[in-house]
Amino acid sequence: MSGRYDAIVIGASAGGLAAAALLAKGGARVLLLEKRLAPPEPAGPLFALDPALVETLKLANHGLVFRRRALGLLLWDAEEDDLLLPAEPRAASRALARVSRADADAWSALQSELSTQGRALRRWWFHPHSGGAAEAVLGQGARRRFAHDSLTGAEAFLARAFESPRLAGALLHDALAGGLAPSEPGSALTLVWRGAQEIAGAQGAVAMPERGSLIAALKSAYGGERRFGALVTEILAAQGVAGVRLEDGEIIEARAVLSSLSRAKTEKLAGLGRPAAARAMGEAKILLTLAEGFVLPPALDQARALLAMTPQDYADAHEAARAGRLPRLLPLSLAAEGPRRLVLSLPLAPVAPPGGWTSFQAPFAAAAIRSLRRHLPGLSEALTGVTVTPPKPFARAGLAQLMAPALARAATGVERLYLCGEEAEPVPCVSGRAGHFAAHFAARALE
Amino acid sequence: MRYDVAIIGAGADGLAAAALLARAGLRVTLLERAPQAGGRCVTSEFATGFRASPYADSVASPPAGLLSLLGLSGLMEDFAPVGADIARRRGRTLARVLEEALEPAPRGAWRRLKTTLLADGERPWPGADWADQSIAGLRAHAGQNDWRNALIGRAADPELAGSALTLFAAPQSRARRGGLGTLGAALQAAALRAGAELRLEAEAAELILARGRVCGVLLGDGARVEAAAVISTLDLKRTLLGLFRWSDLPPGLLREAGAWRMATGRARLLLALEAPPSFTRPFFVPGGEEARSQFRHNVPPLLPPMLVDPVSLRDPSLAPHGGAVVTLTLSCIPAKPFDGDWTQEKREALLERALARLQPLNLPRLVAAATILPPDMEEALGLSWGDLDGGELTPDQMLGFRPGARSLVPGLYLAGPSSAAGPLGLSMAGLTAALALVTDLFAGRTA
Repeated sequence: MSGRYDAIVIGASAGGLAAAALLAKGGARVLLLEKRLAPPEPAGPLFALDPALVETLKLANHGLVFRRRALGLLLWDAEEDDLLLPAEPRAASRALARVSRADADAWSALQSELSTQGRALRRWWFHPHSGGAAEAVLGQGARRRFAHDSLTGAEAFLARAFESPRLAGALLHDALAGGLAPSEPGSALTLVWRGAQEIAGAQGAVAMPERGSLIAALKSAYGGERRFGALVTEILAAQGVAGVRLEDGEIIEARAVLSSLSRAKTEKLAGLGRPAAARAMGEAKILLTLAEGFVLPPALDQARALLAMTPQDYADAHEAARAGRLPRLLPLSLAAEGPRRLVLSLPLAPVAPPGGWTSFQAPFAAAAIRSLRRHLPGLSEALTGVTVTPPKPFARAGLAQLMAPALARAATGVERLYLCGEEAEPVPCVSGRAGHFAAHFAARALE
Repeated sequence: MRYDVAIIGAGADGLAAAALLARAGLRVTLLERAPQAGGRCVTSEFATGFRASPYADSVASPPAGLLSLLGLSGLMEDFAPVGADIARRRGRTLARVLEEALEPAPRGAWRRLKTTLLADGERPWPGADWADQSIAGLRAHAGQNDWRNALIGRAADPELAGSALTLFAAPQSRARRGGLGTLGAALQAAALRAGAELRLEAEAAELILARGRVCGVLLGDGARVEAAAVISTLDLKRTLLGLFRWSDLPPGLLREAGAWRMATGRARLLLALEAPPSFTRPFFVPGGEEARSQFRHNVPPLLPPMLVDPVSLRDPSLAPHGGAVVTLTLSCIPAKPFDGDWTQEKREALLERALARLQPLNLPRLVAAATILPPDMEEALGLSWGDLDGGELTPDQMLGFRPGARSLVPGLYLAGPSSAAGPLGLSMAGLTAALALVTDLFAGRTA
């Protein structure tokens, strides 16, 4: 079918599918292009899923199933006993009280602060009103606190909350998304951001969807025109977006284009050669498949595990990643996707190690697997597969991105060309939100 | 006798404040713990005939208007003017800090001072745009010596967001002759000339409170000094946690003071040489890759960053005829090594390692050397952790909570390095506190 589309969405990622589905639901004529033959499913747990998607697209009716709606936190210590903090805040407080009364109180205080902050910021996070500018949405009190937290490093933020460096160290892990150092401004905000998200109805949690079910549900919710195996080689622009050119030379016209590629790639396709400061590090994932008979600790069924590290260790790891070295201790979290699959997330992986990822990934994966030896004895022998996904070469994350209105993050140098992928998110955590926002902005522009 | 003002600490801030306030006709007493005044602005003979300023050779520039007001113009020279953009912003920042101190505006001499120093400006710490800046990102704007000067002796990592704020506090001014002691002596003479009283070896033990107001100082020997107002030039921790009974402080303030982070890492090595060295200008020796990581783990690094300055070649008055004085300023030196306090052997090892790195330069024979480490600075200057900056110069401590001259407890004015104006320039905090105090007197808010 040819003719002019209202919108073309590039990339069948969660953001791309969400954008396509929402635009189509709004009555637009949409074409979804994906270069691969099958869109990839994000591995591992989700920090949050945009609630607007769940509601508007009725994803549950389209087959979205959660293996776990809320994952707890399992702290794997080198010297002390493991500590399991269930997802339910009171249960976590009780578990902590057995170790430290002060930290148990601090934990409850932090959780309630995060949910207060989350409620205050919710309007801003999940609604693209006024281009998503914080000033337009937040009250003065929320803005002040937000501004204060935005200046603080997560290390200082957590040191104020917790007596034991152990707990502060554990929570720091989630503050490093986007390649921030634990002392950098923006890292505390990341923590607030991630800690206070709402996921499918559960507060401040991390959830594990059934593998494949998120993309499948989004695909089913979209149901519009799509072409897989279609590689876009150019975004045509003349006074705003005009369409795209495919690898085989075919030109498809459209009034708007939403891209789930990175900003640099998208703008390059559109003929804008603006170089962006590349992020030095990002999240790498390692997928481990296990032989039958290997028994995972039962706690991994209800929690993701973190290797306990001190703030100094994180700072060291950050410095090492900047130089493209392997640190002494590699920060990682781990979640089980059923009994046969483990997903390791490593937030401080160098984007461009000196020798390139081909030569770096073997020692990198080996170091990660080695660091699990103590907690999963016999793991190396039980491995049947190791797949490494290097971090994406996104633009540098920072305070400016965290504070920027959503419209500024989604808009590009070309009119009616929007980003709907991960890079339009300040912190990789609310799946699908960038698609939701980009669809909103595109729909407004098409009116 | 009841004073109008008691000033704790006769360093550059205390002396400047005393001189200004005494000139305004107030009865001022300066309480100094050490047997001599001057604080970091001293020059001492560390070996027979060899002299140097033990703690620093240079300081952030004092406001030009202040020195000429006190009749001290010409004592200092700027050696490293910071980049134009930074200087402009710094000027505006200074202006706003002062303007806040001057509200409501008094008449006479103070108005003259205001017109000399103030331009139209923005809020104190015009911040958010700087919170995200790193020195690495600003290298194009600042000369190499600017940022290296700003970093030497400090723990900031130039690659991290927020590090650019240290440029505001870059040392760029030094005494023309005789080391910083010349400035200290001149400020002391100005204070005495104006009629201020100076008590040496008078350590403040506690502040005297009456009905929630500070109204005097209790000295270590039990003597009471009554005053309508007190200016403390100690850092935030020493002032709030050291001079108050904690139950007298508002809980919020107590928490802020407790959470306030000091930074350290500065060490100085003073070398007395038999003959002038081969180099005539200061130069930087970059630190090793591991230096910051070792510092974080309280290991004295093998290769700390160093600034090597042949001070006596610029100012022959510092060395005997034929000899020379070279100072080394080191970063990343822990206040307390992981294996216990600094011992004589550890000090010697540090000196030996530093000298070994200068080996290729064929230094003339070493006559004598002095090692000044963070604990020595703490002991001599009464600074928590030996931190000359009064706290880490991170965005949250520069732009978030950093108290102004009068913000804490009625009757107490803060003029220490931790106050808003502290890092901006020598004597800046003293000047700001003096202005705030006089302004309040005019408005009838004090005594």
